[in-house]
Amino acid sequence: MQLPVRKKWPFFAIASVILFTFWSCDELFDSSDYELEKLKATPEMSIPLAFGELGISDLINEEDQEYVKVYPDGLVYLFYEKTLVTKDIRDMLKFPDKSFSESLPVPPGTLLPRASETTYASVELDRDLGFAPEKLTEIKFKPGTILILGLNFTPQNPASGVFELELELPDFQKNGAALKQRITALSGGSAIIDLGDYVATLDDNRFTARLSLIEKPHGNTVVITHPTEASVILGFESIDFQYVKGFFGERTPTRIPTLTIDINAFGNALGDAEVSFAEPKINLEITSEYGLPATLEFEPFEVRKENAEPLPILFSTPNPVVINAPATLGGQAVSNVGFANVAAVFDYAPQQFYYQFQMGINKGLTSGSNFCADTSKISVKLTVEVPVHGKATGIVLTDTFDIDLSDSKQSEIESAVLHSIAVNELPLEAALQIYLADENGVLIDSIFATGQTALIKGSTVTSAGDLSAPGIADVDIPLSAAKLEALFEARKMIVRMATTTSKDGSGNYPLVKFKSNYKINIKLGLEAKLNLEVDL
Amino acid sequence: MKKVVCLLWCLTAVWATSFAQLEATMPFMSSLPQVSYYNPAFKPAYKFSIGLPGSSVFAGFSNNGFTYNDFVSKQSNVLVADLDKLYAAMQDRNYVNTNVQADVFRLSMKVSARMYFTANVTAKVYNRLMLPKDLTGLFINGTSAYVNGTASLSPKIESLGYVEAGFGGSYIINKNLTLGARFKVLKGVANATTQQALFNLSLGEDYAINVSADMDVRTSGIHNLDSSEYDIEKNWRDFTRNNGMAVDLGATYRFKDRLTFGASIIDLGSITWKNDLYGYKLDPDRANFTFEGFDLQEMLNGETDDSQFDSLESKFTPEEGRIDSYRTPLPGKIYLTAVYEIRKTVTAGAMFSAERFKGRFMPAITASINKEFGRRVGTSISYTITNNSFNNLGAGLSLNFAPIQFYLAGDNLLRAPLALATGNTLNGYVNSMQYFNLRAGLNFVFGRDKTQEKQPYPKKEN
Repeated sequence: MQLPVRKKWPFFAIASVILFTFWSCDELFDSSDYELEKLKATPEMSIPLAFGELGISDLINEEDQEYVKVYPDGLVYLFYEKTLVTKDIRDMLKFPDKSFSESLPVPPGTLLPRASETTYASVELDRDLGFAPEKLTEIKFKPGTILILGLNFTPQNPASGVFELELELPDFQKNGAALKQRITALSGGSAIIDLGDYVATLDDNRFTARLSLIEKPHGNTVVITHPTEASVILGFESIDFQYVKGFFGERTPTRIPTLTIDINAFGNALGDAEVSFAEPKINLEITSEYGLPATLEFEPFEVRKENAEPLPILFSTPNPVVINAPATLGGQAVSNVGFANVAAVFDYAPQQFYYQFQMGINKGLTSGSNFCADTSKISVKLTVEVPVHGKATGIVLTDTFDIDLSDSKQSEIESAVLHSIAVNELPLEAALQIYLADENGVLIDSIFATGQTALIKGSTVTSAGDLSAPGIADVDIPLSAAKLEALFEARKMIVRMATTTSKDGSGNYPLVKFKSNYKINIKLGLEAKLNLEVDL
Repeated sequence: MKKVVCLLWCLTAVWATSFAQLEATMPFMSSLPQVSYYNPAFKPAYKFSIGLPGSSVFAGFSNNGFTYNDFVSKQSNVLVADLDKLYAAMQDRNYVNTNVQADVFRLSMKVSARMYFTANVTAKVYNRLMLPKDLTGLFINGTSAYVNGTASLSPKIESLGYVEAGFGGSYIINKNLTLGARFKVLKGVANATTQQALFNLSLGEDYAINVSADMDVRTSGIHNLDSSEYDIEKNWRDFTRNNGMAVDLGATYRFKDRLTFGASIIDLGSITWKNDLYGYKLDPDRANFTFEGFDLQEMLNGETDDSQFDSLESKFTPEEGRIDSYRTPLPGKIYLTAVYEIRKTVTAGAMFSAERFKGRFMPAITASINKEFGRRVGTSISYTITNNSFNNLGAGLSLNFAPIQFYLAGDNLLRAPLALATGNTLNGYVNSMQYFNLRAGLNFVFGRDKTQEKQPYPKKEN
């Protein structure tokens, strides 16, 4: 069924309007509506900066970490040790080569054939090895010490093939047997004898030698018509010992080079600080293996630090120090040295122990019974033990960093807040300030305002210095636009942390203990409000 | 930068150029055979109709979160991408849907006085991207807002392409009640589904940042396309391995002659995916990272250890590989309609419709006025509230010059001419668009089925 035309007009009217509207527009879209020029956002960023659980050992310089020790009760201490082992005395005992030229007369005579040997001529000698100032009574030779025995007849061998020379050193014994050695003129006239392990018993360097001319069995009659002389050479060479006994004379060995122990534990932080340690210890232990009266004279013996005069460490016993000697060869004797001003030494907050010494032996003596083994030595051990138990004020840690935030847009950071949470079991409180400086180090500003720097609150302690309750500092530090502006202009950042040990209720600084299980838990975060406007 | 922003906006707009999943105007266009897509109990107006490719093309877009106007502002005559404004406009979960459909073939015919038969072969593509507000909020507002809280940053994607072959009919039980049903055989083409997606960023009171993730994304028919060796022409049969079934159920009830109620459930079914299965997973035990700042101990030692950041990439790189077959549901819809016959050619309609799919329930309320100008012209005007969008004036027009029937219907159409009339461009319309769909096509129709003509029951019962 068709609708009357008059009833169709609304449809056609609407359709016409719509079509006319579409066609009447030049462009359906105005592209300028989509040409974005800027992008804007104002995010607030909260970001973690740093975290950590630090103990006292973490606050000590890396170089000193190896010196950090812990007592059974957990108290941390620093333990430094330096041992000098010197063999100067043994090295001082040097014995020169010594040679003896001896003569044995061979009288004329007729040597009838014989079936057994007999002594044709002999001589006994008393000889001095001539060591000075040593006056040895006993020496055990090291292998390598040699005795050269030489034989020569003057003017000629009167009975070739008949005579042998026998050397006997009854004072030189090995395994209970005296040294005996024969040589013949035919064999080249010499022999080399290794004296290793021979023990020579001497009388102030003197020994006895017996030279004998032995007539060997022979079948013919030999006539010696003219007097002849047997020239004998006894040469001691490369004399070295396994031990020596006797009197070594009064000696002053060379001065020992300077020795130091660096105490880097607190770096320069204690430079102007007032510190006091409760029970520091310094111990000097001297161990001697020499059987002789010896002294060590320490000069200087002091502590040092930058920008301060050295402080001498005072001995509670006389200096030079008399060293105890072992009773027997192979033994040891220990001497301990005490000091009079230990507390003052550590209150000085030393950065270095500095000392030098020289030894003396047989001082003022002309005789005595000394002994020394080839391996004998003196050990000089200096130990420094510093329990971290005390009090300190004015500890300042400073470091400088280069920064350059010029590439960043300062205007993007509208404001910022540094958020710090520190739960501190250490009896140590700290105030932090960050100084901003230009390229020449001229200060521009500081990051934190007055009253904002107390980022770490010290723990409270008992009367014994142990932890009572941790110090908790939950701090929000707003950073103003001016501070941020300075931050962006700065080229150097100087971080300065001033610390003290915890105060008691009266504001005094009690002695506090730093135990290994005490930690400071630090969490640092930054909240920044940004105003981002990016040109597209 | 300008290009990037424009590109991002265009990408969003591309999602936006296909249309909303729920159609609000079409269900009232009773002269169109496609009306049975919304309720299989709806009777076609023609005894016989056939549709060839081009008989029904549909595209829809919806975005429940923001419009272009929410993204820009003019400050001192400068057009600014105002991210704060965008964030304020966004929902906690912002769903951007695109949907396209095209009939390959459609047939409807009156089999008997009580029964109509319908058949269709339709290709459908459904895409949905969920953008959590926190994802943009993190960049726009920063992390401070999440101190002692958690930001959920994980987007979720659902993409579904399939072909359905539907066979259905409506049966007149009595003069008031009509029942309908359609059974569908489905062939899946491609799919990407988010089984699990969690990407949380938490900040503690100390600003320590924890990032944790859990992800299980599955795909079918996509991974092989990346391979240069894969020849889709040779392997097209692979795409027939994804089978599914679905059903549409519906009923209408006429109440006191002039008022007719309708109720339907559409796309109740699923597809089992078997072809080219590939998955991407993040293990929550591994994908976990906390940044508390830089270690003070290392800083005191003069060391800076960035190795913790090196592990980030390995922790959050998805494990990917072949996976077992899986099943996904179809986006199911319900339509509850009421149509009141004001005059013989004028009806007023009201509808509650909703889509439920993978955890999201999206309702819509529609009111419409429908007018037929004789048999030749049918019109409809609708107003729909959906997707947090309140400015959706829809319109429909059918021109019935049997055997040819041209039609066009969509939601949020009428503001276009209004925008042109007031602003001389479509900018005002497009810039504030959250919801839009359009269906158009050309049917071949035969034999207008006159109302109550040869009805199997008396015209009026006393």
